[in-house]
Amino acid sequence: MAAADQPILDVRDLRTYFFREEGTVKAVDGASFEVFAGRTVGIVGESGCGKTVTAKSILRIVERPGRVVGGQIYLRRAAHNGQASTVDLATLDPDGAEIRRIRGGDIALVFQEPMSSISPVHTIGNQMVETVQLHTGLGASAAREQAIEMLRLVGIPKPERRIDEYAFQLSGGLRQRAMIALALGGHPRILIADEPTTALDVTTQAQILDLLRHLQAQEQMAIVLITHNLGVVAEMCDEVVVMYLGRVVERGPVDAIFHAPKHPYTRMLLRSIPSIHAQVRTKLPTIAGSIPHPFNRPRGCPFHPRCPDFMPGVCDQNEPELRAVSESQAVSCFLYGAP
Amino acid sequence: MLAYLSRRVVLALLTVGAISVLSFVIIRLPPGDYISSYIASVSMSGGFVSEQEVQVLRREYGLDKPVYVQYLRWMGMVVQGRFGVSLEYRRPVSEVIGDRLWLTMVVAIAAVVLTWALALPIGIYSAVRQYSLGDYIATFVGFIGLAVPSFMLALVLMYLGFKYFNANIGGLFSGEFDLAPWSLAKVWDLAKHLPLPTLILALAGTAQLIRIMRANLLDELSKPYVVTARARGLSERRVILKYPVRVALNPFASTIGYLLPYVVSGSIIVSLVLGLPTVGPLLLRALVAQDMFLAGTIVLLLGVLTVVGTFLSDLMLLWIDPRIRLEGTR
Amino acid sequence: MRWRFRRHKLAIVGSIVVIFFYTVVLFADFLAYAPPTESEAQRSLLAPQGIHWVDHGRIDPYVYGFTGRRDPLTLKRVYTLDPTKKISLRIFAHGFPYRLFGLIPTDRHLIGVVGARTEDTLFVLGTDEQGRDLWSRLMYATRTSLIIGLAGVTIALFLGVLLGGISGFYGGGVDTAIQRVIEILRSIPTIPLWLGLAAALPNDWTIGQVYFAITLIISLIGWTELARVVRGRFLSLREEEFVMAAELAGSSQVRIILSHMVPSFLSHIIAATTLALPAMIVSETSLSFLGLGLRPPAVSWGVLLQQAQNVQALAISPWLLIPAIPVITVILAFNFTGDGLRDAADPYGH
Repeated sequence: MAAADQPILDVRDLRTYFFREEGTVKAVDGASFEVFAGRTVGIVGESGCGKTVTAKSILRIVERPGRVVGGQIYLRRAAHNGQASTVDLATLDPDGAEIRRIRGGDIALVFQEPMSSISPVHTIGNQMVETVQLHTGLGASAAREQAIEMLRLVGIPKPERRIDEYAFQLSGGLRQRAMIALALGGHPRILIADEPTTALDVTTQAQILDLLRHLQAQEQMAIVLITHNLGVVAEMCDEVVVMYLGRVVERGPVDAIFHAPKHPYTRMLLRSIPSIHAQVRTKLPTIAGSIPHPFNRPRGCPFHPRCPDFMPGVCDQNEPELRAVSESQAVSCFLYGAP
Repeated sequence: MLAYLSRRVVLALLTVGAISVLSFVIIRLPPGDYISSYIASVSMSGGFVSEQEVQVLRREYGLDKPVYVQYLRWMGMVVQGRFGVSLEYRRPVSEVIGDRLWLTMVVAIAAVVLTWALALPIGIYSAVRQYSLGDYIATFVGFIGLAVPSFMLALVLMYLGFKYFNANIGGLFSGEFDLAPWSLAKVWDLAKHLPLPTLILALAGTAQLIRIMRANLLDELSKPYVVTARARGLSERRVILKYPVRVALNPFASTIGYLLPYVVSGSIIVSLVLGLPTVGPLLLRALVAQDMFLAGTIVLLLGVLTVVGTFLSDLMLLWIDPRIRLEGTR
Repeated sequence: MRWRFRRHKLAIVGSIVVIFFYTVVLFADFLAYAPPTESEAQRSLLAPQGIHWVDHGRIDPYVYGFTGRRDPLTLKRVYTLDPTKKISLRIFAHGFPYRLFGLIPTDRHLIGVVGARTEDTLFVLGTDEQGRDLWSRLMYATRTSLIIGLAGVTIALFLGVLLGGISGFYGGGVDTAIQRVIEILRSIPTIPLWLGLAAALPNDWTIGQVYFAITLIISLIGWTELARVVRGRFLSLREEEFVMAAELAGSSQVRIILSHMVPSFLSHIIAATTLALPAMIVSETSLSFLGLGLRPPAVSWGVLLQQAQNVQALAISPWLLIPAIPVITVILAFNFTGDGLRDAADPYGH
């Protein structure tokens, strides 16, 4: 096994641009973070900040006209002889056999809407058996056995019957469980969950989060949790990455982020969480303004038009770099060091 | 599933009912009744109808009874396979129609199959390679198919064939097989003659279906289940063919219900231009000659066969779409 | 984006072509230079005459004369050009008298032969079997076919809006019944049926009566699609707040329909109507082509094309196929225009 202090996924300065006729949208513009085995990284940010595109970029399934244009995505894989090898996913051919083995086999993806993420005209089993066979080379009946086992593992009752049902025959919670089972078919070491609980009611949400934690412990899986729900982050994550307009503005351990946030954006995000300790009838603070249109990215620090600590002549002239402010925390803001 | 099936059966029966009433209207519409036309037609060719024969015929067709009784009697005869006697040929209508009816259906079904065989891959290609050169070409051919009525296309092709190859490209059989009894050689001869009329009939429908398939598939291609399928490590080809194409197939398949009547309609005119031995030219002759029993029967049989074809395609839809199949069992 | 713009351009070209054709409808008598039914056996199946525009370095259009004789073997008429005989042409020449727009009596035509000798004749697009001038007949045919299409679509529109509106506004049992009728009509092969109805028209009807009956028959083909569009719009509009607001404010149903709902889907109706028109025109052309629609002496595109039914005749006189060109052009133009209008009415659809 590789040393535990080595990340199994190391994303460095990832850039994914969409080349449209109206102009180039820099959906991800310099995202860096690390993922460790058995731990959970939360990626948070408002909608449209590039969280989902980051996930798709790692798997190299960004739709045209989008393209990964820069950065590295290092994936450490255990080779047969016990030696670890490292591949840079950003350099692989997105249609090639190697990235296809990694998709589902090393890194799996779970989506927000379980209903539309499972084919409406194929049974759950059909899709699961397909994934298992693709990544394990098992025969049809053995793969089916494993698929049933997997459905049992994610807590679907009567899996040997449910396996032949269609997504529209399952309830919302079961559907999300089936979706997770489908993603686990290839025994991935990293699970990217893109808003896995947003479409569910609160009770089911808690159940699904429990399930994810349980699976993580059992399979020693790393989880990348993409969400805009800071409560989920606090409950689930070990590390947090805060994104704004395609850039990582701050990252660090969950405690540091929640108790000593450095970036003004992170602070404002945290202040907008309703608290049970707050005074009744006080207005919940919001972040002033809205996310700029992707074609009109502000010059300098992308957050400066909404920033309470905006320093004229500095923030609107230069782009801040992500730099360490402590051993484990990094932030990209001129408050912590002039350009 | 039962609800869907029973709805379809009832609708098919209603449609057959409507067609039978309209066919009867066509038979009854011209002035004078069938018997007087029959007598006139027989005596014109120097024959003679005895008073007794007239009485028998009048009673059989119930011409002395109210219209709805006449309709019911006619339906009763039709159900037994007795369609009356053609005025022009003075033979039973079923004999006059003979092979023509099912040759019509062979041409129509071949055209529907060809429409699908062309529209499906072209539609997929057009959607997956949106805005590519091939997509533009498909769109252009689609517009031509949309704008050129099939009989005009048949005319132009006949003219070109005659002018440049000096050959008659019409018909369904070579001369020597025209009246020959059925044999393997004759079937082979039919197979050789089928492609041209089939292609002409299929073009307009193909143009429409390409547009439908392209639009459906473009909708489906951006759905999350396609992204998840890709994220599970499937090859791009497999992702597209197994998932979005399969889903887009359902609305596409349901168009067959409108395709068949459309193609049968078109085949009437195209048959005339190309001289196909289908019911088309026969129907026209019968209509011009006011041979109404023959015409009415052809309209009725064409309609009924179309309804049967549509019903079969509904069953196929049931088979391919689990959402309909499992309706009510949730 | 680029494609949408291109479609937009196609729609503009399409509407210009449509306007052009309806201009021909208005000025058919002026554009023709011979009465449409004037026939002459001596001029049967004459090929189109090329117009020469320049004579002795000046613009002075003329055509060559010709002599015709009957081939003793094939019994066909054979024509030879006579380059020594020039027949001069004039713009705005005098010709047969007519009333412009049915009102103003005049005898001016766009083009005509100078002088009034009977042997000096002009056949821009050649003649048909009876020696009638194809160009002039084509002008009148355009008028007939396009007016029938317009009249047919008007009736279909009336039926479609009425039944689709009832269906969508009241819903329930009425809706189900109307929807079943539409489904039944759509699953019947229409052409044999309408052929039957057309053939059953009494032989002694006047041209006017046949005209009307054919219009009615072809409009019966097209109303179902319009009804479907109207019903769909009604159903979605019923859910809109402004309709509910009007209902709560106590507006009468007629008032709600006329002043709130109809304006908001007028553009959809216009688009659907434009897309339904070519089907009408093809229906009329098909029926007449088969000899069961308009009958001579009426002149329509279908009637003209009937002469091209025989391949042997067509091989000798390919110009008989010329009427197919306006048919195809008009269908394309209406389709492009309709597509553009539909996009404009519903930019997020499709």
